[in-house]
Amino acid sequence: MPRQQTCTVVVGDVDADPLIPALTDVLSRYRESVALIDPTQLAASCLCAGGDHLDIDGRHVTGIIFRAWPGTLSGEEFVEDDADFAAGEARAVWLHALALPTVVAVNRGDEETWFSPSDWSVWRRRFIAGGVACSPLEFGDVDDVNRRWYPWAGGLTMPPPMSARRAMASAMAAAPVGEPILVCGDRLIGGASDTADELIAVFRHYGVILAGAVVDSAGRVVTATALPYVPAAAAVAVANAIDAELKVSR
Amino acid sequence: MNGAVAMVGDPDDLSTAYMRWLAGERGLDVLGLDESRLGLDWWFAAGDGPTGARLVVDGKTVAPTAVTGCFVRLNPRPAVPVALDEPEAAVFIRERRAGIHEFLERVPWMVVNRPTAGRGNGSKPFHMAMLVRQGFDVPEWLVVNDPRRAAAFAALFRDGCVYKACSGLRSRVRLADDALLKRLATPTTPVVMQRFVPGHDVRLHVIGPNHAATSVSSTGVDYRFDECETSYEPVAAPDEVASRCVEFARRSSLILAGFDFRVDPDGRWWCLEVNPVPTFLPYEAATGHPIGELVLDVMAPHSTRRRARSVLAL
Repeated sequence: MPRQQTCTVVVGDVDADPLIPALTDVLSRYRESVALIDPTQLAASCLCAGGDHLDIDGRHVTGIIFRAWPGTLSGEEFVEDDADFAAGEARAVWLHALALPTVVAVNRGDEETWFSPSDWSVWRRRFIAGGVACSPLEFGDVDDVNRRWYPWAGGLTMPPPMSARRAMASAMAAAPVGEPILVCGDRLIGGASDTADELIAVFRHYGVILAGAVVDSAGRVVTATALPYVPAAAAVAVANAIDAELKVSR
Repeated sequence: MNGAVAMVGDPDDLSTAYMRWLAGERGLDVLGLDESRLGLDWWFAAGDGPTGARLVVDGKTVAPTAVTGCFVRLNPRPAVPVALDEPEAAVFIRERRAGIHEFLERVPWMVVNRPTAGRGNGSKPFHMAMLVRQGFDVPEWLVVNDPRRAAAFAALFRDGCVYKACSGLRSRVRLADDALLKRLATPTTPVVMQRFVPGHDVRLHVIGPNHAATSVSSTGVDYRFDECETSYEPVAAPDEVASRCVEFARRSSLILAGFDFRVDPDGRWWCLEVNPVPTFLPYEAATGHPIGELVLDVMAPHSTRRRARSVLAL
């Protein structure tokens, strides 16, 4: 029986994400096959998965780098009535793919963040439980004096009116914001945090290799995400770090 | 107010309405925390800093410790109280939903169930892999959109296969047939194909340390959706199955969970899925299992149950 070709899959938008071209270039040097998949094109790929394997277009997938928001996988190639359903199906399938024991994933899928309307709030609870120093937040009916608003969907902006704060139980913080940090494997890229070791340990525990965090001026974590924006200037360094992680993990 | 319970989410949900009525029967004060009225009729404040937890309902401050438990049923399409264009409405709904989640994570109550619990059910393949790891017997399955591999998989099993969606949407189960293979011959999202288990269905509800099982006999493939003759009877689950269910629910932080099984002619229990937001009223009404009362026992342990058998039972 001929040996099935193996494949590393990169899921993301090559035009919008500076990391994607750097990744495909680095990964292609050593691997049998690297496939780039647009997250909106699930139906265009021929897929077969069980509890211990994943094949895409006839190739056995051994690695996945997933760079898309699970809640915004759109079914663009479907008619309008089916688009939401197709997006939901894509979300379900990719979570399973990222959790397979036979796949090295960046990052490993976990159901709590995957289906949450706010992944950073899930991470924050995990950080507090893991001893990571976190910036104090207030929620809901609090005054907005000298505070910044951290919307549940991500970002940072000025506080909304009180009526809206009550209706959304908005998260607000008073501490000034520091530099954003990137976590890749066991190191930080950019920024600093006194709680870096604990932060990395929590991410590792949940199978997250590439992540980002917003810290305050005292180095305490405010929010975090497993889908950080990687600027073009850092793309090659991050791609090499991911490559190194994939080699260690095999 | 002391030892009250709360109903969080959609007040028009049938299960919520029933639980509210049951709580009233026990003489409990009930707070209605309607998701669509957050910020209007009720709101809260909490935090890591000097602001203490505070809950305001209908203009009155309620100490969070005055409530012992809450029942949660969230509407998949919650109302928006003000006129918003569609993109803005979607953003607002998401932000408000996340705020409700944060609220439910922070309250010192028995929450039935926290929205973060049992989320893996949103991906059937992920969920089934987890069930196998936890020791359940799960019928063989495959996620596939390749018609040749789908046909080859179905051919492995004498009794054929069923198929269903990979997510919880459009969740009806159907027999895998030529129509499915024809559909898979054109580009489409994958389906979950699964060996069909002849026999009957069992829904086993876990409520904290307790459980209640209902045998379902049906002439249809999916008794939940098919127009078919269906009958329900209480049944005793094997001790090993029941204890595995209770433990799985505990590990998943689910106080209330609905386990779906197929029991084959040899008496083997095959687990299909665990529902973190189970519809329990039909099973309670048909069998007399006091599921709602058992949930209220967990939410308000200081209160006294009035009946051992469901009031809904005919």
